[in-house]
Amino acid sequence: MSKISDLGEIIREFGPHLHDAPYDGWRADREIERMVPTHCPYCGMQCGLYLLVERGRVVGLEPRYDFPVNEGRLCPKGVTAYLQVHHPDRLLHPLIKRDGKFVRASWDEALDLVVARFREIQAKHGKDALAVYSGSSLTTEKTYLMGKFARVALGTRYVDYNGRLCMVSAAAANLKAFGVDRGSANPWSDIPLAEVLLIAGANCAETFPILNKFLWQQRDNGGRWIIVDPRQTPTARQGDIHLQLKPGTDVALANGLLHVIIEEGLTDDEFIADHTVGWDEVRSTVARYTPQVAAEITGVPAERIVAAARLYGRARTAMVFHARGIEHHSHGVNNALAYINLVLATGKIGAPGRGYGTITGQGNGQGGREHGQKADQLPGQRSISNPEHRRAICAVWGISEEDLPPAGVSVVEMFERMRRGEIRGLLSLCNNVMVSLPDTNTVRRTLEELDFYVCIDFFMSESARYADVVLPGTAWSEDEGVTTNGEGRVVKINRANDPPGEARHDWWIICEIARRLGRGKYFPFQSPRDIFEEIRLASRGGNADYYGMAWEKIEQNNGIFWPCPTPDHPGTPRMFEDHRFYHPDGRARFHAVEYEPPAETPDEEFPLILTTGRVVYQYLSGNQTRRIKFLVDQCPEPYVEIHPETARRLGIQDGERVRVRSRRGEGIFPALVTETIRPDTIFIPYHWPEPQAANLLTNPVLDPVSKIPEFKACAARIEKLKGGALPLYGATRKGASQSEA
Amino acid sequence: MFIDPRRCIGCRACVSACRECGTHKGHSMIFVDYLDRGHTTATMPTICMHCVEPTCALVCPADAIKVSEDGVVMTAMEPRCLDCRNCVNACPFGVPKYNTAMHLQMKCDLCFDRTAEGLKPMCASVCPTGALTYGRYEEIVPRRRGVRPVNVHVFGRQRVATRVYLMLPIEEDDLCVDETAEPSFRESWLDAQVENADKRNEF
Amino acid sequence: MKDEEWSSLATARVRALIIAAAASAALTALIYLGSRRLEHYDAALFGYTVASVIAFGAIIFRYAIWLRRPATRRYWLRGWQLFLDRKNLGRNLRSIVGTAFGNLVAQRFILRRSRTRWLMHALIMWGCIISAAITFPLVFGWIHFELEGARAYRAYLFGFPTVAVDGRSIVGWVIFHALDFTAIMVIAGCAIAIHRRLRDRGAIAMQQFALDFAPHLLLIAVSVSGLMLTVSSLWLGGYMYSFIALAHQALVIMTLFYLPFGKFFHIVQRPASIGVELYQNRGREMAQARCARCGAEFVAQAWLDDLKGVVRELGFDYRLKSGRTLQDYCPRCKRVMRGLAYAALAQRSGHD
Repeated sequence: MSKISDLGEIIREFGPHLHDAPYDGWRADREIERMVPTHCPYCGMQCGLYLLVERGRVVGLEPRYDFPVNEGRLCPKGVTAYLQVHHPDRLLHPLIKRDGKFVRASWDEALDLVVARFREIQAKHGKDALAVYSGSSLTTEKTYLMGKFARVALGTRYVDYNGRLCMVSAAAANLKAFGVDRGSANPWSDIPLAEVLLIAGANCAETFPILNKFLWQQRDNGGRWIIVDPRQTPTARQGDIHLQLKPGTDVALANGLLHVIIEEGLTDDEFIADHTVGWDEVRSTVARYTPQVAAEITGVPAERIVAAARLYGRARTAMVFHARGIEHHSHGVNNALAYINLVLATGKIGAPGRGYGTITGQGNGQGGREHGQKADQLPGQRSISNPEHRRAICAVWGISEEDLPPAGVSVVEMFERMRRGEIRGLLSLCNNVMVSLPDTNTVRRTLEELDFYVCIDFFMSESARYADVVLPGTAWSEDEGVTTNGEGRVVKINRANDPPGEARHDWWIICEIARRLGRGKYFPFQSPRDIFEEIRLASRGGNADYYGMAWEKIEQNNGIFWPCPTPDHPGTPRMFEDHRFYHPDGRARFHAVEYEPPAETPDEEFPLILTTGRVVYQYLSGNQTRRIKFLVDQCPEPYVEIHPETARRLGIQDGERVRVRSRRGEGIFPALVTETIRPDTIFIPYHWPEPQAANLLTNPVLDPVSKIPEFKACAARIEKLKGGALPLYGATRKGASQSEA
Repeated sequence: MFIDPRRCIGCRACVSACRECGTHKGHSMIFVDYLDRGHTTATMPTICMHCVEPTCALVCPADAIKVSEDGVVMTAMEPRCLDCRNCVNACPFGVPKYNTAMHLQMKCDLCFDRTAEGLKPMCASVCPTGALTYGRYEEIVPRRRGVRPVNVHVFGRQRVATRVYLMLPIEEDDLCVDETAEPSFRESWLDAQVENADKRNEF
Repeated sequence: MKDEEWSSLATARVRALIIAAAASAALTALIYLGSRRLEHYDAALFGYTVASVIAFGAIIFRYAIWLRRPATRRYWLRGWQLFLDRKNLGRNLRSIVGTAFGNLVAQRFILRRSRTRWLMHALIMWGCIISAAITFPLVFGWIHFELEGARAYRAYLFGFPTVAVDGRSIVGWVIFHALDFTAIMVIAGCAIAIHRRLRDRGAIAMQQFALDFAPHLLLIAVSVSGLMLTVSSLWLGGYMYSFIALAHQALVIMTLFYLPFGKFFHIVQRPASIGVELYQNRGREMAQARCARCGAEFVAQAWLDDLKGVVRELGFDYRLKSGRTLQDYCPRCKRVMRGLAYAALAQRSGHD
C-alpha cells in the first residue's frame, strides 16, 4: 500500500515553494517594536543575531556586534534564516493521512489517533515496537525531552537522533581518547593564538563560514594553515599547505605525519610520559607509515607530508580541527583517533593556542548529544549501560531502574529493524531521513512499510510526506531554550513571535502525547524553563554538567561553557588545562590505528570515488533552506564535480547532464568540470531529495563504533546520457564554446 | 571601506545582507563573481569603490548621481534617473544596477542610513573573513599582515582614485587592469548560467 | 580649471543667458498678443506675470546649461535624430505616444516602485498641472470670462469666444472651484510625501530641509493660502482677503523661482525620458555590441559608441593596450578582469 496517492498534490500544497520576502514585502518604513537577541538556527557556530519584530512578526534581522563568537558576522543562510518564519509553506494545523491524502484535523483528533495507534502497536508487538528519531537542530530542552519521552512515556529502548549522521565519530573518539566528549576542547578564541592550524576534512568556508573569522585573525597574527581535503575548497585554496588526499585515507596520512614528527624528534616526551597511556603501541604502528608509504596510500606527495609534519611539529602553538570529511567513514572513529594521536604526541593541548577540536555541524549538535536522546546515553553525557549512571537518572525522573530500557541502536540500525518488522511505529522530530540517510531507495521503502509514522515538523519535509500524522511544530524563533555551540558554549535562544495558525510548541506536543498516554506526571512541564531546571539536576555530576547554569547567567555572560558544576562557577572555556583527562587515571589514551580502506573501493565497474558534502547556501537536508529563494537561486540543484582529465576521458563537457550510478542507485546531475577536485574522485552536494539525492548513491555501511554511515566514500561511475546529450547550460551565452578550447 | 579579495570565501553573505539594509528594499548591490570555477574556487567581491571623480556621475545625462559630503557616490536620485544605463556601462568596475520597469538605477551607497547612525554597512557587518571591512584606516591597516592598501586603479591609460581601499598582496601602488592581447575567456556554467540577480546588472 | 575651460564655460553661460532672455521676451510678446494688446490683461496680476516671465527664463537657462552636459547633449541630439528619421517617422510617433503615456501620464515606473508613491505623485502632479493650466492663461490674459445674460459665463481664449457655462450649474460650480479641488489634491499628495519622509529610513538619513521638505511645505502653503481665499470670499465676507491674496502671491512667486532648482527641475527634465526610451527601443533593433571577453551581446553598438564618445569627451581615457576600450566589456567581465588582475598579483606574491 502506498502512503502517498498524489505526490504532486502534496508538493502543490506544502511546497517546497520558493519565497523571498519578509512577511509584508520589503519596506523601508518599518516601525520596529523589539530587537530580540537570539542565535542563528543553523550550524554549530550559533552566531548571535537580533530579530526585528514589527506587530508581532519577524520582519528582518540586525547584526549582533556584541556577541563575541561572530561579532555581527553571518553567512547567507543566517542572513536569510528569518525568512522561514512567515514562509507560506508553514504547516498551520494537524494533518491526518486518509487514503494517501492529508486531511486537516483538530489537535484532539490527531493526538488521540497518535495515542491510540501507539497503544495498539505496543500492545500487539511490545514496548520496543515504537521508535523515536529526533534531531539536533532543537533546543537542549527539547532534545532532553525526546530521550525522556522515549524511555519514560513510551518505554521503548529505540531512540536516536540525527547527530548519528554528524558528530558521533568525533564524539566516540573524544570519549575514547579524553574520556569526555566536548566538541572543541578549546574556545574558538584560542584559534588566533595558534601558530599553525591543521584542519582535516572541514570545508570551513562553506560549512562553518563564521569560523573563518578566527582563521583569518590567526592569519593576521602570522599563522599558517595545513588543510587536508580531497577538494580544493576555498579554505584549502587559502591555506599554506594543501594535502589533497584520496577520500578515506586519513589514518595513513595522520600516521605518516606522526611518523615524521617522531623521526624529527618533535614529540613532547614529558607530556607523553606524564599524561598519556598507550604511546609505545602507537609508536610501533606509525613506524611503518613512512612518508613514502603514506604518500602511496593517500596520493599526497611525500615532501608535502614531511613539510606539513614539520610545520605542525615545530610550531610552539598549534591546533588540530576536524569535521565530517574524516568522520563520515566506516573508519570514522579511527580517523579521528589518528589525528588525536598527533595532538597527544606533541602535547599540544590544554593551553592557549594549543588544542584540539571537532567542528560541530548542527546548531545544537553538542547539546543535542549530551542529554539523553542518543541511543546509548542518558542526560549529562552518562552511559545508559552504566548502573551508577542509570541510578542517578532514575532518581531524577522518579522511575524504578527496571523501567528504564537498555541501550537502543543507531538510526541506520533502527531502520533495518523497521524493515525486519521489529519496529512498527515511528515518531520523528527535526529530521528528514529521505534526504539525510544513506541509500534513499531503501529508506523510502522502509517508511512506506511502517504501520504508523507520526512526524512533527514546521514544514512538510520529504520524509513527512510519508507520515500518517503530521503535527505542526514551531520554528526556532517561536520558542526559547538553550543550545550548546561547537566550542561547548551554552547560549540562549529567545522567542520573537507566536507560532502561526494552530502550530504548537514541540515540547507541548510531546508532553501532551505523554499525558494522553497516562504518563503525564513525569512530564509536568509548563514551559521550556521547567525542562531546563530538570536538565540542571539530571546533568549534575555528569561530564556535561549544566547544574551551575541559569538562563539569566547564560545571557549575561554571552554564553557559559560546560562543565559548570556550581552556580558560582564561571564555566570552563578551555578543557584539560591541568592536563588531567576524564579517564579514571586522569590520563589521555593513545590508540594505535591501522589504515583500512573504505568499505567500497573503486573497481572496473565503478572506477571513481564518490564523496559528498555541503554547499554554503543550504543547510543539511534542506527542509528549511530549499524554500528560500535567495539561497536556491545561488545553487538551484546539486551537481557533480569532475576533474577535467576524467571528464575528457569520458567525453563529458562542462554543464552537460550525466548519470552517476553506484551499486545502490543513480541520479542525473549537471557536470561541473573543475580542476579543484582529484581526478579519481567526484563530489555531489547532498542537500536535495530524489531524484537528485546524493544519498541515492551512498553506502549505508557503518563505523563499527560510532555507527556513522560512510557518506564520504563509495564507488561510483559516470555515464554519458544517450542521445548525444548537449550541455543543458552554456547555450545562451555566446562564446561559451571557447571555454572548451 | 577595505576590500581584500584573497579572504573572500565566495559565500555571498554580503550579497544577501545587502538586501536587508533598510533602504535597499530587498535589492542587493554587491557582486561576487567566480574568476573561473573550472580552475579555482577564487571569487571577486565587488562593491562600489566610490571614485573621487566618479565616471558614473559624470556620464549621467540627468545629473542624478550625487556625491555626499563624505565622498559616498549615491544611488541615482529617483525623480531624475531616466534609466539610460550610461552609468552601468561606463563604470570601470561594473557596479551600478538598473531596473527598466522602475526607471531606477541602484548602486552601493555604503548603507548610508546605517553609517549615518554609526552602524557598519551590512556587507562589512556580516562578511565572515573580513574580505569586506569597514572602519578607519588607522584601525584596520595595522591589524592586517602582508597586505598593502591602495586606492588607485589603472584601467588601461586611465588612473582612477577611489575612497574604498583594495588590499594588495604585494608592494604595488595600484592595481593595473589591462589587456594586451585577445582576451582569454574561460568560465564554468555554474558561474555563467545560474540566473540570479547578483550576477547580472539588471535587477 | 584651466583658462580655456573657464572661457568655454563663460561662453556657454552667455549663450544660455541669451537663449533664456530670448525665451522670456517671446513669452512677454505672447502675453501681449494673447491678451489682445493687454485688453484682457488684469493689472492686479502684474506681479505674477513678471515672476512667470523671469522663472521661465531661468528654467530655459538651466535647461540650456543642462543640455551642455556631454551625455545630455548626445542623448538630445540622438533622440531628435532618431525621431526625425523619415523612414520610421510613423513608427516613432506611435512609440513616442506610447512612451509618453506610460511614463508621463500613467507613470507606470512609479507604480512599480510603490503604489503609495504613485498616488502621492499623481495627486501632486495633476493638482499642479491642472492649477497651472487654469492660472497661467488667466494671468497672461489668454483666457477671460464675460457674463452673458443673467448667469452664463462665456470663456474667451486669446480673445476668441468659446463655450458658455451656466454659473449655477454643477459644471459651472466645478469649474469655478477647480483650484480648490486641485489645492486639496496637492495637500493630500504632500501629506503622503511628508509622512513617507518621516518614516522611510533612507529618506530620514538623506533628506535635507531645503531640498526635500521645503518644496512640499511650499506647495502646501500655496494650496492652503489659495483655499483661504475661497474661504474668505465665501464665508467671511472678504475678511483679510487682500492680505491673503498678497501672501498667496508671494508664495506662488517663491515656488516659481524655486522651479529651476532642486526637486522641481525634474518636471522639465523628465520628458527627456521619452527620447531615452526611443533610443533604447530603436537600439534593440540595431547591431549589438558583443562583450570583447565573453562574447555576450550587451548593448547596441551605436549606443556604446556614443557612450565611449561621452566618456572620452569628459576627459577619461579608458583605452587598453589591446586597442580596445574598457567599455567594450560587459559589466560582469569588467569585474572578473579586475579579479584576474588581482589574482595575477597574488600569484606573483607567491600566494594562491
